[in-house]
Order: sequence, then C-alpha cells, then structure tokens
Amino acid sequence: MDGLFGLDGATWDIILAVITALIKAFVIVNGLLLAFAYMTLTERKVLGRMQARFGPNRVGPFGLLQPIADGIKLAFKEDVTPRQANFWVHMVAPMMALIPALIIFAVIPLGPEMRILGQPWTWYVAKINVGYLYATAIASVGVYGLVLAGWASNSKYALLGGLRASAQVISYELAQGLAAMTALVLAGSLNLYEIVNQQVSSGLPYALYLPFGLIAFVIYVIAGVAETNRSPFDMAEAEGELGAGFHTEYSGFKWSMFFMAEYVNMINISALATVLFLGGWWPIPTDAPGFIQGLGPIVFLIKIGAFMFMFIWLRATFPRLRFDRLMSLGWKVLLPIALVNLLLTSAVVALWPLGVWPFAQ
Amino acid sequence: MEFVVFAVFAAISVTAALFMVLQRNAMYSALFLVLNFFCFAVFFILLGAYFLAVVQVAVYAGAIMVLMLFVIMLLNVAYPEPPDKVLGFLRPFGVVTAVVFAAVLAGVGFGSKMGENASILPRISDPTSGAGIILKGVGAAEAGHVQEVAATLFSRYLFPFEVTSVLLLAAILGASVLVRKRTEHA
Repeated sequence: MDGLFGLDGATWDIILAVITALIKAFVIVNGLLLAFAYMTLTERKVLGRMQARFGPNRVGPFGLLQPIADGIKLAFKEDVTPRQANFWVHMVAPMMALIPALIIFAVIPLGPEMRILGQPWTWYVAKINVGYLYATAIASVGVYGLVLAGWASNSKYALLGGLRASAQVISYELAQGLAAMTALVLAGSLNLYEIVNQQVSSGLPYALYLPFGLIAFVIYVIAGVAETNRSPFDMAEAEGELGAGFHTEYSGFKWSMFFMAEYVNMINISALATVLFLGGWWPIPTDAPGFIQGLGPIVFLIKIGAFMFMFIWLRATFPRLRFDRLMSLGWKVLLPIALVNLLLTSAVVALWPLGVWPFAQ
Repeated sequence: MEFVVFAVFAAISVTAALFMVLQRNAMYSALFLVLNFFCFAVFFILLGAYFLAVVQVAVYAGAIMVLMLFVIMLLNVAYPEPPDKVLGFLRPFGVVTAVVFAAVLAGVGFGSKMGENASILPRISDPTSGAGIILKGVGAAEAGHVQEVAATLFSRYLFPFEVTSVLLLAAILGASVLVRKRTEHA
C-alpha cells in the first residue's frame, strides 16, 4: 500500500492497527451488553427452574425476546432525579460504574495468537505487560459509581447502601489480589497472555497446582462474588433493610446502567478467573494448526459460561450474610489464608525451578 | 500524535486542577482531583512508564481518593464555611507561595533544555530530562517494566523502601490504638 494518499507503509500499519482495535472494541462492548441482556433472561429462567417454576416464557419462543422488551421498557421509563439530589454527581455516578466494567475486557486474551488467511490475528485488543494490574486498577475505579450514587441521591438508604457496597468491595479486593498473586507468582508475569500461555504449555491450569493453586482459586472466586455485590454477599441491596441500596433513587436508563455494570463485572471476574486459574483456552495448544486454535475462544467462553451459571446457582442456594459476618469473613478468614498461601507458593517457586511443581501429577 | 495527546490531557489536567482549588464543594474538589490523577496516568503512559501509570490509577484514584470521599461523606463537610471567613489571614502567604512556586516551575522548565530534544516530551531513556533524573539508575528502555522497577526498588532504594514501610506500619498501629474501644470485661 506504499504511496497511497502520500502516506508510507509504516503510517498505514499504524492506521490499520488503530482501525482493527476500534472494531474489536466495538464488538467487545456490544458483545458484553448482549451477553448482559441474555444473562438476565438466563438468570430468571434458571432461578425459576431451581424454584420449580417456569420463568419468563411469553415474549417470543421460550421467552427469548424478553430482554429486548425489558430494554425498550427501561429506555422509555421516566428518568427521575430527586429534587434534593446533587444533579451532576447523580448523573455521572452510573457512568463511573459502567465504563470501567466495559473497558477491563480489552486485556482479556480470548484465544491464542493465530493466522487467518495468512494474516496475523489476535483475540485481544491490547497485550500489555501490566495486564493484570490494569484490570485491578480499572476495577477499583468502579467503586466510585457506588459511593457517588449513594452520596448524590441524598437518601439515607442510598447512602448506607453505597457505604456498605464500597466498604465490601475495598475489603475483598485485598483477599482477591493476594489470591491472584499466587497465580502471578506461578507464572512469573503480569501479562495475561503469558499467564495463559504458561498454563497451556505446562499442560496444567493453576487451579490444579495442588494444594496452593486450588486454595487461591477458591478464595478468588469467593472474593469475586463479593466484589460484584452478588448474593449471598448482596448486603448493599438488602431489601429488608435498605430499599434497593445505592440505586434506590435511580430509575429508567440510569438504573439499567448500574444493572449492566453488575452483570458485566460478573463477566469480567469470570474471565479473569479463567485466565488466572483455569488456563484460558487450555486444553487447546497455543501452537496447534489454525482450525483447532480457532476452538480456543469457544473453550474460553464455555468456561466463562460455567462461572456465570455458578453465580446464579449461588444466588438460588444461599441466604444473605449479616454485614459484620461478611466483613470478618473477608478480613479474618480469607485474607490470612490468602497471605499464607501466597507465602508458601512463593517459597515453593523460589526453591524449585519454574515450571516444575512438586505437588502436581 | 504524541503531542496532540499530551496537549489535550495537559489542558484537561490543568483545568481539573484549577477547578479542584476553586470549588466550594469539597466533593467536587475531590472528583476533579481524581480526574487530574487520570491525566497523570496518561502522562506516565506517554513517557513509557506503564507500571507507574497503572499504579497511579490503582493507588491514588482507586484507593486513597475513595477513602477521602468516605471522609467527606461521613463528616458531612461537603459544604464548609466560605474560606475567606476561616482562612482570610493566610491570603498574603498564599500569594508569596504562588510566586515562589511559579519561579521554581519556570526555572525547571527553562533549565531542563527541553527545546533541544527531538521529542516534545522528555523520554525516560533520555538522562538529561526530568523523568530521567527521577528514575536514574533504571535501565534505559525497560524503565516502565515491572521487573526493572522492582529490581531498582529492592536493591538501590531498599533502605528508603523499608523505612517507608515501617513508617506506614507505625501509622496503622497508632491509628488502631487511638480508635480502640476499651472493653472492661475482655
């Protein structure tokens, strides 16, 4: 393409890379929102079956058009801002919850690097050396949505719900980070692609590096459920105590943005757990022939789907925790276990050569 | 390209800093400070220091400012007294500080020979630039990498690092002793 419009080949490569990244970002954001829409339907249907009823089945075949009907209803509902609320902060809060949730997925490697029709193709938007730190940093920014929504609504239920939600998210971030550190120490890298690649080439996902990998995996998942404020850790929206928690004073589209943020965060946590502990596209080898490599993203999505099912299952099974129990579980149980686990893993990694795990096989 | 990104975020950053100082509402001030932190993360990325950029967001925007918001919310200091009533006598000192700060800034700006570099932005690999001074001793191209930052922190700057951690530990212990409830029966 030399000389086209007076631009040289290198400039064209940059323009092409930017356009590719934009298209991928567009597909990912819309894919996440579509997944959110059908996750709500799946959740209602699965919960229904678990409680011996049908769930929504009237709109379209098997109720498949229900999310679209819900979306249209929410988009046209009246958008109420309480008169005593702080207008600007009240408006910005849902965006500060949703945008971080949507941009985390940029660093998730869905499949191995491959060639399609001779052209190199990657299943991620960005492969950065600090991939995991990027994900946690952006996730910790999502807390602003909860705090600000609670404060701006000028309602005691919303304020208490926002405080509870953010205190919970901040507390469980620690246990979650330490559990993830176990996988990072095993991989010796922060790059999510490298982490997956190490697990695939060693043939064993980190969750099966017994016993430390499994302990870290369980802690990561428990903390992940708490991070997303999902049942049984949904203290922020304990309807018996707080109305609907931090989004009590929200309606219409702003409310649905909080709803989207919760479900997209569930998808993010599932994707990160898959990368860190379940080996991403394992057992598809990274350097397999093209068409087998193409199965990588499908394997990855199946693993995410299993996590999402687990989220629904937990909600149907467990009663809600009391808030002080929740905090002491995070600080006095999960955090110390994760810390000791990380220490022992580091000792083993330091004493044995990387890639050899004495307790595996 | 680099310059355009820098110019846009520099403008946002300065505007956010001004709004932070000029706002009467403490909550708005805190939010503009968060916006400012994000602009700084962008500057770190432009300098090739990805690790610092991510840590900037995670620590300052994600942790410290959230706690500041908690303080503002729980102490209900979002609308404090107009500052001229409380701190009016400090105004002359403020003017003096501003003049000194502007002089220092100008001195650093003209003294660092920024105009002699090919790039508008000082690169970390360039030892004459300001960023090079901060991260001196770090391998040139790898300055943004986690391994390099860790190696430097735990070898060359090990003592300051440990002293800082002891200081923070002492602060945490002090805080928990001060707020501890004294229960008689325990």
